[in-house]
Amino acid sequence: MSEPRRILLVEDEPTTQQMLGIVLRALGYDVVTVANGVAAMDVLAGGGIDLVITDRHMPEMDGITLCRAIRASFPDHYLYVMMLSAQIDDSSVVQGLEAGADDFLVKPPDFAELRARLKAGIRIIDLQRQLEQRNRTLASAHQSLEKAYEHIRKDLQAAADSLRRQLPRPAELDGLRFDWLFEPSDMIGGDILDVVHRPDSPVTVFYQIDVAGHGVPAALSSFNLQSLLSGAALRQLAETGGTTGWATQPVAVVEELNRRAQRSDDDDYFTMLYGVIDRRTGEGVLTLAGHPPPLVWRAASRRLETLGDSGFPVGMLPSVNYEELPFTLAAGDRLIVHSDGLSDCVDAEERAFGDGELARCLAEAAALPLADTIAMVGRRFADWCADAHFDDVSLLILEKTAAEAAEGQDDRD
Amino acid sequence: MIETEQRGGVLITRVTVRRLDAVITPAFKARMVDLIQGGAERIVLDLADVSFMDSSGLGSVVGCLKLIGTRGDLVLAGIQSPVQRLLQTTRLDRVFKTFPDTDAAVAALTPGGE
Repeated sequence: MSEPRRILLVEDEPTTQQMLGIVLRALGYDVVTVANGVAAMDVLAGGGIDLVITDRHMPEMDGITLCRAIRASFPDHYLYVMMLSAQIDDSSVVQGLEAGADDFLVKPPDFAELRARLKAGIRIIDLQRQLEQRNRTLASAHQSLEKAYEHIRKDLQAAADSLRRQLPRPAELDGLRFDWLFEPSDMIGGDILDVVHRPDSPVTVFYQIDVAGHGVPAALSSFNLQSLLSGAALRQLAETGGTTGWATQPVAVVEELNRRAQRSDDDDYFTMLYGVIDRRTGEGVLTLAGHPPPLVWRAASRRLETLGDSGFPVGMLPSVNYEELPFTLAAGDRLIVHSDGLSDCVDAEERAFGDGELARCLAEAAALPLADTIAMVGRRFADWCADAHFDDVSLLILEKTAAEAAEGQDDRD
Repeated sequence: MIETEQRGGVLITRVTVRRLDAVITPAFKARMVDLIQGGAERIVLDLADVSFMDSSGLGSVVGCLKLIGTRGDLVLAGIQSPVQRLLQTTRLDRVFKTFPDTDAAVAALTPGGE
């Protein structure tokens, strides 16, 4: 014990007060004496007291009332209270315990017993002090964590907003229109899509990427890929009008990315669909790399087709070959590109959204304007996968419009 | 998460979780790497209990195959249809040998068997 413990002795009877005071000081305690409960509460309000020994019967405020007052006034600072009484029976113990007393002493107390009971009390006080200290530490740690979390959440939200701003604004140019749906499973995710659609070239480049995993690491990869691909596509389209340059050759793009990705040693990879389309003719080519095959809505026959079958993901295996899939969109046709987060999401009965429901929804919404079709797919998807939205979800639809060369606006940058 | 059984020169590793996803994948991969670096060269990965595998799970299984390389082989047994579909979409059904059950897989990996 580094400093003597301070005991408040509350006793109205002068002889007992004096005698007990001497005994307690002899035991090494610092003692403050008062004659009733009201005076006791004044002393306690000043702090510095660990333990209270109070007589049960006193004028002004008795021991029981003092006990209750102590428990009500100092809920966060534990005071050990011992009650002195000429005789102790069951009912007085029950009443004392209910009021908040910790121990009971018969008056006059036996010296050895008093010493032992005080030691027990001090042990409990020490434990209480440790608990109080730990609670304070925990509360402050909790507060720091809350602050840190709030900070991270704000940063993530800012990152999510900035990623969303990178997405192409839905637009129509020379009779080709596009729109999309984009829902990361966390605030940010590993899906990305872009459409490079500029008046300086009749060729539109479009792609969708799903980086394995989700959250921040996946988002960093997808952000990187988007800068690389869209930057190259913009440059090459501006320079050559889409006639040459690897950015307009889907197989070359995917093979180059696969070569670059082999340099790392980890299990990271991504799936992608990369395509180009000539807006004037509706003719295009695309390459699939582990991505779900796209669907084509044929306006003339009012049917959905699946385009191509599969391809290896990018970054998984070295020197694999990719295929070029040609396609043509006639007026009114739509090319529907989606990530597996959309098609694989299951409902309560474990049925995947891509097993029929997506096709049904696309067919039903085929006559609607493109933006409304996207909104309808979004709603049906949300209903389907209400309980289990684990993956990033993206959907991109290109539509060859019936009107020839309707000038639209692409004001990204 | 993984139960192992040695049958002759073949190690069967049975994945005992239903979802091989981003949550479980790091532990799965670490255990498999231990087994492979501990000398396992012919492995049957029993996926009969796995009804869902996500992109990170798939990446780790491919990582195991690459780690074994030409020293041995890793084949898949008992795959369910969602996993089969994932393998098809990624064309990895052409990379992995798959078998309906562990008996067939062990037979194929046992010298003189097939």
